[in-house]
Amino acid sequence: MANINNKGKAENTYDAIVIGSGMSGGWAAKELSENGLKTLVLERGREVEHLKDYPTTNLQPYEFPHRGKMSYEDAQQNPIVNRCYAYKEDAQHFFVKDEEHPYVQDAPFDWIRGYQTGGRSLLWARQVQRWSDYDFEGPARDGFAVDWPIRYKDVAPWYSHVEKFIGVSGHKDGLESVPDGEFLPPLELTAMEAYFKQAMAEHYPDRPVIIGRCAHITGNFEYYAKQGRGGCQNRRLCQRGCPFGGYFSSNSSTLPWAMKTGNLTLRHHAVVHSIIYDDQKEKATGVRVIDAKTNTPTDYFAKIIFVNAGSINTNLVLLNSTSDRFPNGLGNDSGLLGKYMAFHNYRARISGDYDGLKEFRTSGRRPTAGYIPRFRNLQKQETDFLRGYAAGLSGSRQIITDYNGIGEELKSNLLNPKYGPWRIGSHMMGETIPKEISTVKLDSKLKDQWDIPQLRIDIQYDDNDEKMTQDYLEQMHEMFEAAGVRNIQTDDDRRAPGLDIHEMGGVRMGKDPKTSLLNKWNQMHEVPNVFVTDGACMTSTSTQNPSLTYMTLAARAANYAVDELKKQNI
Amino acid sequence: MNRRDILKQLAILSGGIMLVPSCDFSKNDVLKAYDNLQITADHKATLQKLCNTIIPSDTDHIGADELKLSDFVLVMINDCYSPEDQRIFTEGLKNLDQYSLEQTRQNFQSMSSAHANELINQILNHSDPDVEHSGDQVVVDFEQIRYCVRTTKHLTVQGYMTSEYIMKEVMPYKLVPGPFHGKLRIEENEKANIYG
Repeated sequence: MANINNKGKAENTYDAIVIGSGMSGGWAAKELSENGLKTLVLERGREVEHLKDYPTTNLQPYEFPHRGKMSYEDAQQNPIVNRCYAYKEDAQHFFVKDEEHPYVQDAPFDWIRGYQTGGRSLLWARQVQRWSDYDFEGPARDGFAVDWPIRYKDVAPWYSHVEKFIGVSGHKDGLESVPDGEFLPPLELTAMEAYFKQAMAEHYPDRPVIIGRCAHITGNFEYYAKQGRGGCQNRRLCQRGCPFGGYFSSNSSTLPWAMKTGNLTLRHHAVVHSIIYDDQKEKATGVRVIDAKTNTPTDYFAKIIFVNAGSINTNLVLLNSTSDRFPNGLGNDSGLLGKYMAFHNYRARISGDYDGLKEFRTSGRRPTAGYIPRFRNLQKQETDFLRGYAAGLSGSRQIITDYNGIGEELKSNLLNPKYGPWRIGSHMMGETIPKEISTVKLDSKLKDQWDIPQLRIDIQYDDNDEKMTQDYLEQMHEMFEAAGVRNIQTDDDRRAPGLDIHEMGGVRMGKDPKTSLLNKWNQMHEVPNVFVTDGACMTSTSTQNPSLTYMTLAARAANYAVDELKKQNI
Repeated sequence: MNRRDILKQLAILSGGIMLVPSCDFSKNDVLKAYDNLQITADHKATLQKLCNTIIPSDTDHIGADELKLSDFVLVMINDCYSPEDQRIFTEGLKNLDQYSLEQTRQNFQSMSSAHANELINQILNHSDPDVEHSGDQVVVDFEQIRYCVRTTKHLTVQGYMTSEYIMKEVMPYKLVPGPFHGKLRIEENEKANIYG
């Protein structure tokens, strides 16, 4: 690569570099800069400044020319991103279009991405359930992947650290499967969900129903005012960016906080080509960046590097970071880089009607829903498949409009909708097993527009997923019936992996450098000044929405890295 | 010029045409904005009549004409439907007048609202696809007409229910809805609000 822009090496030198400004990168940046480290955050996308760059946030539904629907042309050009539930007229500008960053699908995989300040933290579903030891002990107990090098006690204080700062609304349920955290006041279950919870307590005492813990501010307002954030207003238009800062995103919270320390530099349009490894010094010395607009390469240097590019892109960066010492990718003596990928199985859903509670309705909107923590195979193995699923649960009073007729008859029908029965629905969130054959790797020929190899993704469902999907539908059907729900309908949409937007693994944590890439501090076994603290580090997936755990591991690892720097160990 | 401006112009233009329906010069002028759909001023007037037959105004509530729902229908067809669906829609729209003449000996655009209501209901509820055949000859393609009318009904209803008028004045939608309540007792005679 000719003409590397290396002028003024000092000018391009920082204490720490964080690759990626999303959910976990924002946390690494906050912790490092608060600890006094001059920190450079590299973001491959454009700048999206909190409040200023949310162009649709206050638009009324009728101000969207197509009422949210994407154009036929857009759907034809971008079949992948169009399958994402949130890719609509109001938030489409926060998603990567298919052509913008091509990849090869060795098996169908919907890779949903957001390249901008804050990444996908602008767009997430904001559910934040903690992991427990039922999750961390999963691989060891059930004999898959490798043992996690950490347990709940290692991360519990860091869960608290993160929850306090981001703001988590939740109810203290006292459950071992999803431990309680630092909660702001909970949101309410609907009458239907509360009834279902009660019915489960009667018929299935080991299957509790709780209100989903979500990253929304519902109390302690003075504390969050210091971040410039206000309370959640229940608009439920989060994907547009929140003008109140009511939900957590890097844009509203960690990045501006880090900026206030004076130690943060945020560089946009910075596509990371690779991490630079110095064979003599036996450590990483910096990061090579291609400017997304000018294609100019620039090298940046730092003592420590955090890789938070978003699971799959983190794999890409490491695979493309080759040197004499690491010809197969950085820290990849084990040969496991890019392997043991996994995701969450969101294929199945169920719904039905309930005839009771006729005298009640709900009012307003709610940024969360009911949640049924994993109950399958929780204490011990009890089915012919491994692990289990959590379930989202949502019950609402239907309002039914009769669309028959035309003219005055139709108009009268439209303007006089009637209360129908309560409707209850659920979707599965299944754990999938990371396998050696589930991989991302570099294509040997195809390059992207920045001359970086394209990724080949090969991640598929297996027999365990099929059995688990069936079991979810059977168990939920029984549970719905036990609660007197009728007109039950089930669906398995067989969506491609990836559409869950919970892709994980490839750079897993573990105890042994032969069978893992990261140690218990998310530090590369073989390159101790490189840390991976996004979804790529996940040894297994469990069922919980993973962002809270990524943020927690990022905060924990960043503080460890600071200590190690002070001790001059790295 | 963006689509919004085009629509504004179009509304003015087609409004003018309706005042002078015999003006042959503009009648078949393909409106620039709808090159793609090949919608002429004449077809636009047919569509307006169709929308207003589906959702007329009355003493209590404004309807399709005031809300310019035919513009919404065309924008949606033009931007969100496949070329094949667009072709069928446009063919159906073109043939609606002809069909009306054959079935009722009246011009759809000028027939009374009662007659228009009857004709459109008949098209929507038609179960026998053979009726539009006169002897062995297909006079007009009824399936295309029915597709056009059904699609227009769907989009007119969508445009109506998501109009500023409905969402502000009839069934208020609030961007900031206030606190969430999971269990509220329904008052007697309380009107259900789909946006409440």
